Amino acid sequence: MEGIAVDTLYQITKIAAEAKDLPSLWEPLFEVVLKTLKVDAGTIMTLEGDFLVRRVAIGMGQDIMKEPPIPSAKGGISWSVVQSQKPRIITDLSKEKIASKTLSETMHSLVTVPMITRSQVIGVMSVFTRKERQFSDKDVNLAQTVANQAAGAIVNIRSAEILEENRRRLAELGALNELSRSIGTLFNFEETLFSIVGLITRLLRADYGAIILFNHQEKLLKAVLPAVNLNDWQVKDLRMRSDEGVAGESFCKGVPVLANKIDEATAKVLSRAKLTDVKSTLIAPLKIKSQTLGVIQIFSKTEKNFTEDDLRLFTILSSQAAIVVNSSYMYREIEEERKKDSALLSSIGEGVLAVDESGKIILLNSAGEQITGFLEEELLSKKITETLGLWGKDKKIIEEKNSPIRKVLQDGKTASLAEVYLKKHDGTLFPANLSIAATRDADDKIIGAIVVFRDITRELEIEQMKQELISIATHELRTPITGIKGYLDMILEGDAGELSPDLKEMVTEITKINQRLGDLVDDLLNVGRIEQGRIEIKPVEMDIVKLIDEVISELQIQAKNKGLELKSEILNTYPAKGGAKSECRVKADLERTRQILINLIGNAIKYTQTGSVTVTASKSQISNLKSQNNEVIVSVKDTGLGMSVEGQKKLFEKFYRIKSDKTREISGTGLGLWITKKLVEKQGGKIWVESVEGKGSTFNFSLPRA
Amino acid sequence: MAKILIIEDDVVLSRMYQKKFEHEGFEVAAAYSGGEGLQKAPQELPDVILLDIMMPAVDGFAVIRTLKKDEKTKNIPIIILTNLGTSQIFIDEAKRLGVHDYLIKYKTSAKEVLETVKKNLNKG
Repeated sequence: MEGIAVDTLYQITKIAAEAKDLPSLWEPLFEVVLKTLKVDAGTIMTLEGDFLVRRVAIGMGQDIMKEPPIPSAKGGISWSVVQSQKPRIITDLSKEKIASKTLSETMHSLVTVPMITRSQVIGVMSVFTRKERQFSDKDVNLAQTVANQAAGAIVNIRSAEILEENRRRLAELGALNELSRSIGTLFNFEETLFSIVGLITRLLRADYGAIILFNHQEKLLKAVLPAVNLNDWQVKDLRMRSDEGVAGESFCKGVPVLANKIDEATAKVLSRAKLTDVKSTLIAPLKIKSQTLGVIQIFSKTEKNFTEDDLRLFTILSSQAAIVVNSSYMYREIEEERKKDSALLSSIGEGVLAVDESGKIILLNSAGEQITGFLEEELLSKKITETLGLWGKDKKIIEEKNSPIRKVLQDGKTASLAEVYLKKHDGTLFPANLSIAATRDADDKIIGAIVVFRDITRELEIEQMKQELISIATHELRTPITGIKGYLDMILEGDAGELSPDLKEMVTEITKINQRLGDLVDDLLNVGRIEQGRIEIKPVEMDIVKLIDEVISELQIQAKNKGLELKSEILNTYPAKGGAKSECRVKADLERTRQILINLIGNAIKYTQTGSVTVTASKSQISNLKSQNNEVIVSVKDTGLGMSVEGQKKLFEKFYRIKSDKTREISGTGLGLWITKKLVEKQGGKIWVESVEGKGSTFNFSLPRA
Repeated sequence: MAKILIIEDDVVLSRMYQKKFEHEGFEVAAAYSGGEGLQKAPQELPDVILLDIMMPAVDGFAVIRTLKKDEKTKNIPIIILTNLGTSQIFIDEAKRLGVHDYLIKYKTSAKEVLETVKKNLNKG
């Protein structure tokens, strides 16, 4: 709307300036008005003595021009506007007394404004819509301004001596129009702002002009450079609180203010900036949507310099200035962000690479250049798979069709890849961690992706060193633990003489503690092996039932000591090959599977006080979603403590232990199930738990069927 | 009285095993390195050798290979006592070399070591 307003004003003034006589003025003028206000019809009547004479009518048929002039005695809407000099809005015409019958039958809503120039009403302008419309204050203000400009043009045509001023106004409006059209493409906003403030100041015959913006940190309204006819010191000193003077009032209320006298508060503000000769001033808020950025203020050394008409024009022009101010500050912010971004991009140690929506590289930061050895220019417009390439953790190449970048560009979901490999300029591969995030435009459409990558060569080395250190340390711990165990066993066996019951109990406790240390070292070693991928899996065909029975007989003594029943059941198995005894053949690593069974059955015994532990093997059923049909499922069911749903979720995490009064006495490292899970997964199986707190748990794992 | 040679570089562990076997009435000889073990075995001619694997310079496997070549020592039963873990490669290698038993230190109590030694003595 604001953009259109200046354009409209310019066009109207241009039409008026170029019109040779009144009849050639009306139609082109009104076409602009109708288009700007988006109305269906309009008419202008001028005041000729005691009559309102219709000069032009558009969109309401030719018959209306044949209607006679309206005498003041007849009254009606138009005459009421002439007399009150105020606009009238009528939303429903059928409820009003209308002079013209044609109008009341075809139109629904109207705005009628007086055409005023130099405080004189010279006629009225009315615009109509066929459908109901609620005209806003903005519409009315624009109609009024247009009408007044038109009035000025009419008068100007009539009196040749004002032609010169008219020309000047046209030139300045033309310049302003040019400026506002080109805002989007202008980069020198300071110049643009200066031009706008300068044009407005001159157009309205003012002496000084300034843009005063609200500073949110200081909570002050402060003039900004550039300003018209004010030196730098005056600009610096032109500042005020938001409740101070007319500028404060305009800012707070968000309305334009015309002050033909300077009140005390305003005078104080002006005196600080050495603007003591100001006699009148115009202020309009700079509004963008609901936000008020500040005000634009022009000052005159002449008393009563500004008219209501000036205020209206100023209001429209200031809305134009607001756009420039806003664009200017947005541009500055973007510039600053851009500088920050580029500083950030070049300072961070991580490689940053941007691709467009087709996956072609459009940016590589300097860290990225350092890491890869490529120069940005060498990668631009090429795909990652064509240049850096992408290999998985297993060093197998990832094809373009499976590229995670392509996936992010499609689904917009951020992706992280740990330990993948990229190729350097010299052809060597380096390990990297990758994060890929989609970039989107204002409409949320994916326009590309940002890939952040980090060379993790050093980290992998450190990780390996750490693992080796842990491995050596834990290995070294085993020897003293074995020594302590040996001596404790000797003491307990009476090698050093008969023990008192107290001493025997204490030494037994120490033995248990030592055992715990040993278990911890053992688990840590296993964790280290798994994490370094040093665990070898040699799958062989074997009968899992036989292995279960072996482990059960090994652990039977532990179960008996607690009074638990430990047994195996074979359910729903595959037919045995040739033999009568049923069997369940799997393809798995014997030692690792033994370890899995020992861990699960050992845990079941540990966490069960009364009842039984039952181990079953069965072929998987299709109904079981967690496993596939070609798998064997081993379940270890106990009647022990069970656990909460929360506990079940975290159970397989490293160092997680269920904490309760009942488990406090049970020792453990919190590593066993993590290790077990890894061992199952390494063999291509899955592990899961079903449990009811207080009722018992069932641990299940699957293994591929042989 | 049966004689045992303990080849173990860790003094603490060696002394612990020495104590156990002395208590059980064994005649005990100790070597604290593979080299020392190779030197003592033909001298002492023990009834059984308890041998560690991970030792600097001459490791347990090297000791076995040398002992098996010597007519005087090749029939002495050897029991490996190590913390080298359960890796099948080591166990297979030990068996190939003719080792009688393979025990994991931290998993085996002194009493179990004793029983294994006694079992091998009976065989001999």
